[in-house]
Amino acid sequence: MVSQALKIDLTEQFRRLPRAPIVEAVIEMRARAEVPWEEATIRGRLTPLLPGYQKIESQSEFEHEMQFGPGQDAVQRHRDLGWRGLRCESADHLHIAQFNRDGFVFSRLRPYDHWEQFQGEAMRLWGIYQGLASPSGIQRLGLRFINRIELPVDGPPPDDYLRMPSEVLAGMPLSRDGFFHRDVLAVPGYPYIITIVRTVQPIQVAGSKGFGLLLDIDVFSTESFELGGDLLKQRLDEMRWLKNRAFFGSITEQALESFE
Amino acid sequence: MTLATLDSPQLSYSAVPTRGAGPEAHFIAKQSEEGQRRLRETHSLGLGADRAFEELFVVARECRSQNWDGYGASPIASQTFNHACRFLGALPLGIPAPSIGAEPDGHLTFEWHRSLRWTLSISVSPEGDLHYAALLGSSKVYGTEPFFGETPSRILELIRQVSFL
Repeated sequence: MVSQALKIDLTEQFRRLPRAPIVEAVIEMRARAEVPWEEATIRGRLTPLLPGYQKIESQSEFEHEMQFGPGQDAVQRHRDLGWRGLRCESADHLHIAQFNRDGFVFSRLRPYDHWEQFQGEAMRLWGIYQGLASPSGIQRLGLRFINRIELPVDGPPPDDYLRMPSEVLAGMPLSRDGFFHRDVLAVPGYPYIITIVRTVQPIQVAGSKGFGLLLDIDVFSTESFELGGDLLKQRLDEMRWLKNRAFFGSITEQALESFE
Repeated sequence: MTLATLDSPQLSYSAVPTRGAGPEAHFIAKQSEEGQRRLRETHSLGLGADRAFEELFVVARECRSQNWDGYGASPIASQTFNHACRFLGALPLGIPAPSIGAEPDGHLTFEWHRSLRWTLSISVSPEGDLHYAALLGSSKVYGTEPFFGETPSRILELIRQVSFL
């Protein structure tokens, strides 16, 4: 596989899409709490710092395991591994922040506003996490945008919205009833990976007009770095550029026009 | 499904996604797990993993009490076992199954062994650290990587080198 040189250009401007189909934007810093991580203490310190986040719930960790034995069928079990952290939801239900033993996750649900608002709130809450958990570095940094395009029943095919292989089976004119397509792409010269998932979500709730065409773009880096300096901001800016390029490279012109 | 796993040790089916909170993120995670489960059920890709899980359960059960070796060994803690399960489950499909053992300090070990000069040992601690030591021909490498649910690229590269993939 030959990779062409790629240069991230942070001055590049992208088309503004007032009706962008973003249903969730996520920033995740995977890091290890370096202080005792106990529920009563963390909850007591966190709650007064988050007046806009009224719903605060405990999160537990579960392990799914399978037990094997000679001459026996496999036995599946779920195990509760105990308290992991707190999930905090804003009063308007648009923001969800997870403060966990193994890192911080911030989600902005639809309607997505704009990058500065999203990043600003994420970094404000990340600062709170740093104060609680005292991590010395970030082991994995992720930026993920999930888009959902409403597909009317008996409407245009997914190919009208997403760039995807038009012919699955050569010489077999079969209709595509479902798909889950996942690409994992390395970024030459940079410590980033892009995972792109294209799939169809069945009709979920009453009032939904049709199927959801999902375009999930996850840009991440597993190259760890210590905190301090501007590296976190620089990486997020570069990952945002990659995310934008991945989005505009995945969507047809026809779809873009419908988001303007 | 496209599996682009050609020229980078970081590219693997089992890469853990950035964790979302909404219904679409849950839907994608469920679909992805289902696809992975189906691949693991296949004979060619899943057989080694099943055997390795079985071995891990046996070792953990045999070494769960104090002094399991008769020389004062520490027991395998449940956290260590859980980290080891997740580490094994996170290995990309098609990776050769490791041999599994326990150490007197209560760590669980995964070993890939090609020959006396090409061997890799990874020790899982109760804190979730992966301590590794490898012989790669005339070179020795060792170090520690934290485990956050996906195989660190450094360790994946060592497995490939030792396994000659």
